[in-house]
Amino acid sequence: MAWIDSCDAQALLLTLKLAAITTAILMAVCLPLTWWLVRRDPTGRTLIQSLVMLPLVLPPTVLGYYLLVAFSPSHPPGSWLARLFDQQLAFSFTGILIGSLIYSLPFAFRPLEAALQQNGPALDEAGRVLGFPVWYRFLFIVIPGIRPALVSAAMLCFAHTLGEFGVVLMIGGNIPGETRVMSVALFEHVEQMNYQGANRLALVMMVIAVSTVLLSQWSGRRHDRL
Amino acid sequence: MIDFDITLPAPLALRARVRARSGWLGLLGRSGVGKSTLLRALAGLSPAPTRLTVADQVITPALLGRRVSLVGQTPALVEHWTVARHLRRVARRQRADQLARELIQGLDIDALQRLYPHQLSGGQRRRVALALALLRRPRLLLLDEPFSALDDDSRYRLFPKLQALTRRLGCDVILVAHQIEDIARLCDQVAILEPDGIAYCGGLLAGLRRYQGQASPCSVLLGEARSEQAQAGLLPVAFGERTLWVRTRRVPSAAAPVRLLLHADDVALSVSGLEGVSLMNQLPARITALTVQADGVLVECLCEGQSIQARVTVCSRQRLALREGMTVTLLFKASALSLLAGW
Repeated sequence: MAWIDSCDAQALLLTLKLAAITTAILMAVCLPLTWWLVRRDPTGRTLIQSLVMLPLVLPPTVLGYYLLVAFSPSHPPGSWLARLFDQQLAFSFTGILIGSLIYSLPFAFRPLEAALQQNGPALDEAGRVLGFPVWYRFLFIVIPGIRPALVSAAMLCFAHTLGEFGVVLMIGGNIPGETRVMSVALFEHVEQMNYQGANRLALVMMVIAVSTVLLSQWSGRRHDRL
Repeated sequence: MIDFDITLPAPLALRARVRARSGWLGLLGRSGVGKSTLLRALAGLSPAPTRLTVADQVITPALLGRRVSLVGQTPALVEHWTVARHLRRVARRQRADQLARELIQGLDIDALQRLYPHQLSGGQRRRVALALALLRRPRLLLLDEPFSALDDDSRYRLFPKLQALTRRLGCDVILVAHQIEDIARLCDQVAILEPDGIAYCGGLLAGLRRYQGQASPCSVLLGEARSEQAQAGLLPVAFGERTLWVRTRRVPSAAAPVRLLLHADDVALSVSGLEGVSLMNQLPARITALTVQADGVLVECLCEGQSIQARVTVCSRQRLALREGMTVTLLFKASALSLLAGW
């Protein structure tokens, strides 16, 4: 990695790690959650939907600020969280991970809910008619049946987490190897008028973003042809 | 034994109680009366019944769903599975590999195994769904218009196989079919569903007659095929003392009891016998009842101890001065009779 310096390489790896973990957790949480909402249509569904959509309209710095307040170890819930994770959350990787989870939640939730709403019941019924139990239908019939939406939700989540700036800066600061993600590093380069470094980082982020979008499009088309 | 009592939620708010012998039960009823909804609820799909008892035991739909298979109007298949994968997964779950092979052969779906559901035609899709439904070894098989996409030839080939398979697997069948012929061919019993519940549940002939007021009137006649005397596409069928001529391409291999279906609109009446006409069937009969309907007069006649119905216009009734107790000749072509069983 002679092309970018080791500090930026560290930021790149940290960013990819953050995006990958965020995406994995959001998929694992949102799939059952949205399926439950679609199947049961519980009272309060609109409230849940609205809450999930909140990060979309809230300025990231506002979200980051409230998280920072919440993470404060001097009072709950920050003190409880600190005990739960056995560490202080502000200015830590776990802290920015929690921030990313909330910040990218709508990008996972929305496409999954829409796809499950549209195709889920028919897929589930097909499995039911064939006599498969509920967990089997969900894992092997419903989830593969909405694969394009699943891939596109995952890609969106991933790409969106890569570009996260405001929330990370608020609750994470700029600690190399812990919270210094690429967008923060890029900002720092620009501040220090290191335009060569900034160019390289920006280019790397651009390439990742474009390939993510291409991959999700390609996966959708492959499914259509099937 | 088919024995259940099911209450469906609003808007249908229907309570249906069916108690019938084992075998094939035809479910008749006007469109929109809730036949499909009833079958769906019985199969454990939505809408869930508000109350369900089977053989007088309260049961949850989920529990019932395990022993009930449904083949719907557009059968649900998993679109991203090939036919082979459907068969393999269901067979593995039921530990029924041998049965799977048998069904693949019996229902002629070997050539379809590598296809995805969206590559199947309507008829192929139904055959696959039938195989999968039977592969689950259901106690009760629910068929909702399963044959509507099949041409006559495919039906003729499918029906005996299906009957043999359900008999071998020991499963009862409830059949909803648009065409009365299909029900008359396959079922020994019928239930008639009306908006306030099951109006009739019992033998086929009485059921079909009762249903006639609602659908196109027809008669089912019982006779004995004289296969050895069949000639030139005409099959003689002994009907009491008389002989009916049936035009058919399929002649039973041996003398066998058969059912014949005759639509009332295909029967003409004459007050005297006719000479020099091409009509093969002329039967003397006595009028037992005349019913004025919206679109004609339904004339019920008795011939050789069996009831035959004819429908004529009000004008014809006046012209011929038809009345109860009068003796007339029933006239119909050999092609008006369709052979229902024993082919």
